[in-house]
Amino acid sequence: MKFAWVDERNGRSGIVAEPEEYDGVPWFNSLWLDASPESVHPDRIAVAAALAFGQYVETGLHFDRPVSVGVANAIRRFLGRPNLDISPVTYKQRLFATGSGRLVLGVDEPHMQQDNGFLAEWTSFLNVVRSDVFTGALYSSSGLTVASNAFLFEDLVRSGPSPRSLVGALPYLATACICAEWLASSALVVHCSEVAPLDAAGDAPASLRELLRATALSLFLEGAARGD
Amino acid sequence: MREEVDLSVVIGFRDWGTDRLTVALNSIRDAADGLNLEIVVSDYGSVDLESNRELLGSLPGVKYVGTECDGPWSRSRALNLGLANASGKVLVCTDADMIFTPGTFRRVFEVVASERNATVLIECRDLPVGWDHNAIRARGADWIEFDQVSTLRGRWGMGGMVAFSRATYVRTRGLDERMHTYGCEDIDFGERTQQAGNRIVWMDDPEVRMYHMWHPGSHDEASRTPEVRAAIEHNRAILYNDRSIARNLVNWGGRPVDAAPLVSVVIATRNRREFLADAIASVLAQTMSDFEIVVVDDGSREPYAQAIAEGFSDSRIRVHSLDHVGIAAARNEGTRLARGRYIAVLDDDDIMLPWRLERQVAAIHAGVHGSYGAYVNYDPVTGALTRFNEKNVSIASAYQSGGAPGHSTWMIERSLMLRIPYDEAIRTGEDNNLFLRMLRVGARFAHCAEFVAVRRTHAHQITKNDSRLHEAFATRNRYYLRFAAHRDARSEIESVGRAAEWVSPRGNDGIEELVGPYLPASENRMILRVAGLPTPELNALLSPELVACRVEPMFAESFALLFGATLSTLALIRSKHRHAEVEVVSAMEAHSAQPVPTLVALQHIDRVLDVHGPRPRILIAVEEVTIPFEDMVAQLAKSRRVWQADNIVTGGSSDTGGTGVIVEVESLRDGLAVIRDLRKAVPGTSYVFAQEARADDSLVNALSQGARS
Repeated sequence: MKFAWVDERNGRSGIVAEPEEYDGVPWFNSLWLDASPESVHPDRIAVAAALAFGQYVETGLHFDRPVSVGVANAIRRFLGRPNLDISPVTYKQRLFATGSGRLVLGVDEPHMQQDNGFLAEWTSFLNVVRSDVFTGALYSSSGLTVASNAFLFEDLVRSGPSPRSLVGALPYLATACICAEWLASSALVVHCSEVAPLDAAGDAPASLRELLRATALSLFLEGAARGD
Repeated sequence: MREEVDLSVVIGFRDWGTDRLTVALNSIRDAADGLNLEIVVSDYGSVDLESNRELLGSLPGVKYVGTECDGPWSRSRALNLGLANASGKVLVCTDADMIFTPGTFRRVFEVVASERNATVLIECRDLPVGWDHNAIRARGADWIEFDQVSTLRGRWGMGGMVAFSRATYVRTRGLDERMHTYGCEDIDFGERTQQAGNRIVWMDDPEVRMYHMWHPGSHDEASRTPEVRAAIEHNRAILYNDRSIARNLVNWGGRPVDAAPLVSVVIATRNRREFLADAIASVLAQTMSDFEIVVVDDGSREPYAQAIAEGFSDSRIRVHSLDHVGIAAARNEGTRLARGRYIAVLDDDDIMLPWRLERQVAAIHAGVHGSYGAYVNYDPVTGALTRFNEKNVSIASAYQSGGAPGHSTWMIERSLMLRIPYDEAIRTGEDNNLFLRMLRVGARFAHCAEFVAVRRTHAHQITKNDSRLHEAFATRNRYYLRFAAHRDARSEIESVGRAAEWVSPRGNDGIEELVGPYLPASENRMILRVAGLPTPELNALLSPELVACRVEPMFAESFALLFGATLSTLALIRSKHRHAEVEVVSAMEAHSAQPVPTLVALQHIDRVLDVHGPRPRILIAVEEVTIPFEDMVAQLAKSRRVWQADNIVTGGSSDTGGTGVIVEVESLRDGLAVIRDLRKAVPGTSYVFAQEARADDSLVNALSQGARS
């Protein structure tokens, strides 16, 4: 499956997927944000593509910019396909921007704000709202509220705010990968009432953590046994 | 309690040797490795179905499905008939000459069951010449030897074995039953599962093997007879030209008994009793019968919807009543209650044209979430028809026009409408709002290139009554769409939208002819051509007030001439006899209320008959003398020139009291002789040569002038 990063004149940016020979045709072929990040690392775009479109990929993942070899291997392990063709691949990984804070992920939260105390560890928020209801984005020093069509990539139709399961959170993790550098964050915090599918330790699958770690992002599940 | 079946393996079959089939069946059983397996042998057209049923149906784990077939064999139809009777969670199609290594189907099942969107294939390996089922039975299953001597066919085609989920089968509606014999039906099906979201997974496991048993004709070019080559060309044309995902829209031989309808037509109604019956009738008149109608009564002062629905006596209609919650909420409730894959919207004061559902489903291809069409405004007072065409809708076109396609032309995936419902806070323009929201999130829609709806203009239209409020909401919807774009970008995108081309629907230059017969007060005369319904049953169904002339069939078709009420007549026939093929084929020029003479009726019928051979045709009728149709045929048979049953194309008695027949003759001179012979026995016989007569024109004129008296 071919992926391209697109910045549109109507205010949207995102990943557009084009199926290739044995790939399934995705229900929606583009993951949009109503914002245009200043900078997005190609590796994080690749990880976002794998999170949003991985279930349709059979042939391989082919990007418009080189992906580092470590991320390519992590994608193969995450999708459970060791022979997946990923290209182009570079052995020189571009450095990730330093991010020291936590990024709390929210979905359709009516009000998200982080009260960062003077000496406390800096925490930002990313509130992903539905782009069929809202248009545009609202950026502040403590976080970003952005409209996106990520809700269409959820496996389950939710009855309320925030994904109930980790599987449901994957499209929002994809948006977090895209926005993390813009929000100077390196640790993603997800609140889920159910963290299925679980590994043996009752935690997020190791392959998911590894996928994010390959792009210098950590994953914390609030309510789970332990973090990264 | 009956155990659930894990895997159903379906094999199409027709007189190809039960011995070889038995070897294949044994291999399949061994390959299931503990799964709860069902094998369905779909015998499509074997000479002795009963013997096959006795033999194969008695084998363990085998379900035998026998169907008569008097035409060319169709692998698509054979497999679909088997799939309709399969109960496994995972379905497999394979052929009667394939054998599998032990455990193969266990592995295949695990892939399909664990990954919801996978279509699984196995590369076929051909065993050498002479390694037929007898040789295999004699040697025993030496899989290592088979692997060494076989030839890998490679990843070509998809037919040797294909495995998929039940949901995939229903989504695609199986193999395309227009394809006959074999060739391309497997590739077409596999590609459509991809378009439906499935990955194509070629099993890459050394323990998974499929071998094709040699038999005479396996790779013999001589077996590709002209008929088979023609069938492959026919099938190939469908493969290359038809982009739709769902097939078998009008007739689906492989429809599972418990399958949900393909389309749910949702009609919200409130205090508009006078229009609802016409709206429902227009749905029942559809060429495609796989639908349900969900009527939501939004708190009408006096409930009428249930009584109107019951008057149609059709189990596909459901009525649900709400306290007055508003039209948006009523439509959302209709979506929630619906069971179909697609929601077709119909306003309660509008009419669907008979081809709407079929053409709209056929327009939905990969990456598209719904379809729409053009519509016609109809003023019942003046009779005026106004066309409303559409462009190919996109964000750019919406930037420029701000508008959505006509609401009564929408057909949208139910799953999308559940995720993005109508905004229940909006009192007007909720359709425009919804469509623009869908466009903005990336939904795509295809124009079906047809007029699909007739929109009645009247005093109680909501858009007429609240036009200022409607405009205000429409403006806000447009602002929502364009909000995030810079001003310069808006102009740029608008100009792209302005440059988009208008789609010209079928019948654009002849809207009255296209739409006229289906208008509620139409007095147009139409010819209905009906196949698959015995004439006495058709006669019993049709009201005498509607039918100007009925001509009884010689062969499998009946004709009826209708005076108005085409839509309600279609609704009646298609609702009660869903397998009858009904075609509206012609409008007659005369709009008079006078009875139609038999000869005039035959002229019109002759124009619509498909078969036009090289021989001239005569339309012969007797109007003033009552003669039973059988007697006329007997008289004709006495003529030396009309001695074969094939000479008589069709005919019968009409309600006007006349009797008519269409006859083919060898030449116009022969035709004249036939008339002269008939007139001796039946005075008052009149005739006309059919317009397709192939002869010297001067001879036609001379004979016509000389013979008429």
